[in-house]
Amino acid sequence: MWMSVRLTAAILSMLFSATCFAGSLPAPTGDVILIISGNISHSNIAGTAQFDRAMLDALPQQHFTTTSPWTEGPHRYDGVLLKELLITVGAQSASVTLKALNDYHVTLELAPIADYPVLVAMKSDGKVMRVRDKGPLWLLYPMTDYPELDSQKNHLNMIWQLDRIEVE
Amino acid sequence: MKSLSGMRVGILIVVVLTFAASAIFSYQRQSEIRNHLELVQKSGAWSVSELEGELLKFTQVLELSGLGQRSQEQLTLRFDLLWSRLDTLRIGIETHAIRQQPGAVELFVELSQLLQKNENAVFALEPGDKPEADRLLNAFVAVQPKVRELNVNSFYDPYRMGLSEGGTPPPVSLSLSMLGLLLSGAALVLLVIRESARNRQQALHDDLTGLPNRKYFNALLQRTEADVANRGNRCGVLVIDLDNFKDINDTFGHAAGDQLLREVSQRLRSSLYDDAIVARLGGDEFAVLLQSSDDLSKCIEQVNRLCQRIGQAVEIGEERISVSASIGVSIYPDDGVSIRQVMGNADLAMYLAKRQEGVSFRIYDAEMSTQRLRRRELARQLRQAIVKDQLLLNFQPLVQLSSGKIESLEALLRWHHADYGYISPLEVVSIAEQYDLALVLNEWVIDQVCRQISLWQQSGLPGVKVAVNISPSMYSKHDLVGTVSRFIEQHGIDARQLCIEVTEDTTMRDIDSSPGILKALRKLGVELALDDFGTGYSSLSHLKQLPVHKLKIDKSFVQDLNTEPKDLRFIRTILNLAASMKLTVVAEGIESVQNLDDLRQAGCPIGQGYLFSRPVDAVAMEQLLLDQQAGRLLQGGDEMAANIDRLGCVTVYPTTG
Repeated sequence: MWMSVRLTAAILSMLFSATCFAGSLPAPTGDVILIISGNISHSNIAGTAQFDRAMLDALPQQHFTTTSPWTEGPHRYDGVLLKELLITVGAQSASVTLKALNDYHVTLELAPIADYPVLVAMKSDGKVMRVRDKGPLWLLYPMTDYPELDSQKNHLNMIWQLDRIEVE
Repeated sequence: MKSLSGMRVGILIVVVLTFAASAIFSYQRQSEIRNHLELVQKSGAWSVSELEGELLKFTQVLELSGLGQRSQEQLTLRFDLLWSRLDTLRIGIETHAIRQQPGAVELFVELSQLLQKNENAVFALEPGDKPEADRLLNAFVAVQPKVRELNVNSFYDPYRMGLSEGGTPPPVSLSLSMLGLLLSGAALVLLVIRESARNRQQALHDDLTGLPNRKYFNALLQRTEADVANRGNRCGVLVIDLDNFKDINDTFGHAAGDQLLREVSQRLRSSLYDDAIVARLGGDEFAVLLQSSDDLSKCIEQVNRLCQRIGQAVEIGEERISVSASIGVSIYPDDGVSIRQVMGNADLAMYLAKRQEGVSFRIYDAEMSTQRLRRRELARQLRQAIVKDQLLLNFQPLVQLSSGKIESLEALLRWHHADYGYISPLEVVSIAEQYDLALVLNEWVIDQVCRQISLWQQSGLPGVKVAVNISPSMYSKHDLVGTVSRFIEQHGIDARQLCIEVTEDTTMRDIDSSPGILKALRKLGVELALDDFGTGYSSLSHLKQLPVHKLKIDKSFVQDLNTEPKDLRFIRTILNLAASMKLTVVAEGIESVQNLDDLRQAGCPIGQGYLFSRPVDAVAMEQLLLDQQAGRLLQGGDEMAANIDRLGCVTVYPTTG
């Protein structure tokens, strides 16, 4: 019950923001690095929302510093919050499927992470991440700020080389 | 008993809870381990397999690029993915365990150098440049077997890797929970087996005595039937019913009754051979299967011993209760084609044994079945006969011995059956009692008698008093008082013209209620006569309670006067007793002038018997009454002798009045 109230609140806030986001998405001009498809209300190409790096840079930026099982020591990550991204495309769903360049994919329930600044990271320690550095996009949880997120289950969700999001 | 079952439920709850807890715990541990293994595989070993996969994909794309079938972008993407996969293995806690594998780090360094060395060449490769592509391909294909080997080694023991990664050691609690699961599961199975055995026992045995019940016995009979057919031997079936058990229950209470049943079951078991099986069919009814009854004399010997033992009084608390039972015996296959039929035979024989006093047994013979068929047929037709008015009432006068005048009449039931001929009133009454026809029969009789009194009244014979015999169940089951008053009113007769004859046995049977019923009848104005006096068991104190007007001395006492030496003492005693209680006395069964003289001498006021008149139909009786009105009496001096001649009364007929 508590969860569904929160979920409803999250969806409402998404809806609210979506209505604030006047006009449709601009078309990408550079190389597309992220395609969001599925149940979205704002799109630019063929019902999908396609982003180049500049478009992602133009969205509100967030950052945190965290350690991870795949890195040595803490690193600072910069990028767009997943929440922000989903609001931008007017996504209305309780879960999304994230896919990587190597076709790894994971389905993510949004409700459990609604209160956390889960980041679609573009930079590691200020440097744009290349494919070989787990870029261009890496979904990261702020595990150092919120130790409770540092679980093996969440590790599986932190998909790197992210390039597609499917809104259920 | 209750606390015992409470304990059972308690144990059951504990076992079920243990089972559930163990099961839930095991399941949770199981899922945890499964997840853990999954994670270990996905993160650690999985990374190696991904490396191998990425290497394979890269070499494939490299080969296709050489053929011009893949773009440079596609190639560099695969190169970068391979690179990132290698970095994932080289850095970070997740793949720490992999790096512990012998030769792993060296391989990663070698791969890393390979990537760095060829980075520029890969990025510079023009699609279709096959020689360059093949050169690169050879360099990368060369390391494939090593990667393959690492992958296989990593996958062989993911669990061990999980451990070295600081994962959970094989948990002791898991084995404990498995043990709990097994033990509680076994306990549950045992409980189920025990319960079902208990249920079986309960379903097939009697709670009170612990003897097999009717269901068990029926199944046993069926098995025995097959056995007997196979072996060609015979077996005896006994049906045993306690006499007057209801009275014992009523008098001493149900606890005493139960104790008596237990005692009887004990006696049954101990007085029979070991292979005999005793069952309680229900209530006070038992059955016995005598497995080997080839020798009928042995069977009889057992039954005799049984009778002796059952007949001994039972001491319950302060009381000594005398026990009596009736036993029916039938032999399979001698007495019937099926053992069921033999069981029925034994039942029938038992009912016939009931007619005998005390502990008694009857062995079935075919005649009994014929008798039963006859009774069943008669019962069916009696109902018809009542409805169709095919029964007849005859009347026999009761004569004042001093005056020779008719004092009153006794109405006697006559039924002439088309096939069986004359049916005695005793048999008619007993059939009516057995087949629940007592109410209709007695109503018919009372109705007819009242009607006849009324008819005689109308034809100038006022004040004729008629007695009727009422069957026992009218006292115990039906509203006799209501029935009598209804017909008196309906026919408009004086209640004093009706006399009800009741036997001692009937008054004894419902010792509490019968005085009340009799008092109510007396209140109506009806006269009451105690029939067959002297044959029953009524005590003087009981007699004192009965509000009767008349005692009818049983005919057997009068018949005793025909044997020498003549003894009048008993009759005199009754006469004295009656006088002291202000009762009048009737002597039944007077068949000779000598009887008449003797009774007169003894001072008996009233007599009845063939000497005066046989029972005659209403028309003939009306004539006798009219004769008397005209001054011609039935008896007295020469007239009496004349009457004997005229009526041709000989003494061979049993009297029923």
